[in-house]
Amino acid sequence: MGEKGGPVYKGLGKVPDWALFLFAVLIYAFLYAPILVLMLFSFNSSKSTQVWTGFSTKWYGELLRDETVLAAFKISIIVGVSATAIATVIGTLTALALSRY
Amino acid sequence: MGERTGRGWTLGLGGLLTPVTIWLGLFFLVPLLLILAYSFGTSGVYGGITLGFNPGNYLKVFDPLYLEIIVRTLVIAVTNTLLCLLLGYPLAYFIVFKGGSWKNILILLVMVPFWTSLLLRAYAWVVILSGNGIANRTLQFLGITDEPITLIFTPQAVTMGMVYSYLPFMVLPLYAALEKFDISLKEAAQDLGASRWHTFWRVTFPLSMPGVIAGSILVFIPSAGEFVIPDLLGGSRIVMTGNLIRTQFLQARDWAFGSALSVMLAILLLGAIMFYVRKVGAEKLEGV
Repeated sequence: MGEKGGPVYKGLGKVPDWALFLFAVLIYAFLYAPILVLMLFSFNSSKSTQVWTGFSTKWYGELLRDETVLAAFKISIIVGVSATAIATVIGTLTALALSRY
Repeated sequence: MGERTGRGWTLGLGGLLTPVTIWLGLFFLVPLLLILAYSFGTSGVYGGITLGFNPGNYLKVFDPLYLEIIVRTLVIAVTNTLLCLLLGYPLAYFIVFKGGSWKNILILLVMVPFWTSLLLRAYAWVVILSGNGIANRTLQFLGITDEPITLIFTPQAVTMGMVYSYLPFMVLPLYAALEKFDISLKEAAQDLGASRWHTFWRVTFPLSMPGVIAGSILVFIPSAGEFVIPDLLGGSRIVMTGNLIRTQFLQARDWAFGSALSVMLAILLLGAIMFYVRKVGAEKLEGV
């Protein structure tokens, strides 16, 4: 908007563009910070989620060795795929009925 | 295909709608009726339930102890909805009107956190807000506080966790509504002498009202029934109706009271939504 010599429409009401941009950056930081923190601490060498003791991939190794975790993963995938399949079939049929009749 | 009436038409419609009817009937309507029947039953001492007509469960809902929890639930849900709107609107506005060629990536970035488990995201906040967590360390490092302060297990922690979880539900409908907005309307308003402030409140905002309504409902309904976030971030101190219902079913084994609470919550939500749509809908029409 405005690049082609027309009037310039800036901001949201009285809020200038840079403030809007800064606001958006802060919201994205808010959305991603907790996930990044968890990701970071998944590489922590100690069990702590508070203190950084060094980089390690040992928890990923433990995860792959743990039978319970692997079984849970398997169940999650089976449930997820089944739910998607059933919802797709029923949803498609219903959408067809709603749009055609 | 071409038939508009007759046997083939009926058969086709029936065939297409049979799966959804059976599914919703079995897994939505039957459980709902069951809850309604249970809510008038009497719970046995050792769990179990005797059906009948016992309005006592509903009277129990009005016990000040439980009323307080219901009022708190509504206050948290309304606060959450307003905060999501307050934070989500400028963001959606920024993405649509200032995003340029980044628009699709920016809206995708709003959705990505939502792909990770809700439980995981709530736990992340437990880690951050706990006594010795990153938030407290940062506050002490900056010299704002001298010792760890209580951040978790407060109403603010619960509200923040809810805003965090439900923000995408608000941004997406707002994005969809603003996306459809015809920029030339804004130009017309300003050509006719409206200030930017005026243009926003009299043109852009009223036209985005469908997004505001859809987003508010999408945030309000699930946040009023929320029990995971208050459980993790509120501990035993911030009990919401969802937690109370779960306790009644799983720990107290008072299915009758749990059902009555569920029915009351559903009625309250339905009432709130109808009131909201009527109120906001009417104002929207006046604004146009």
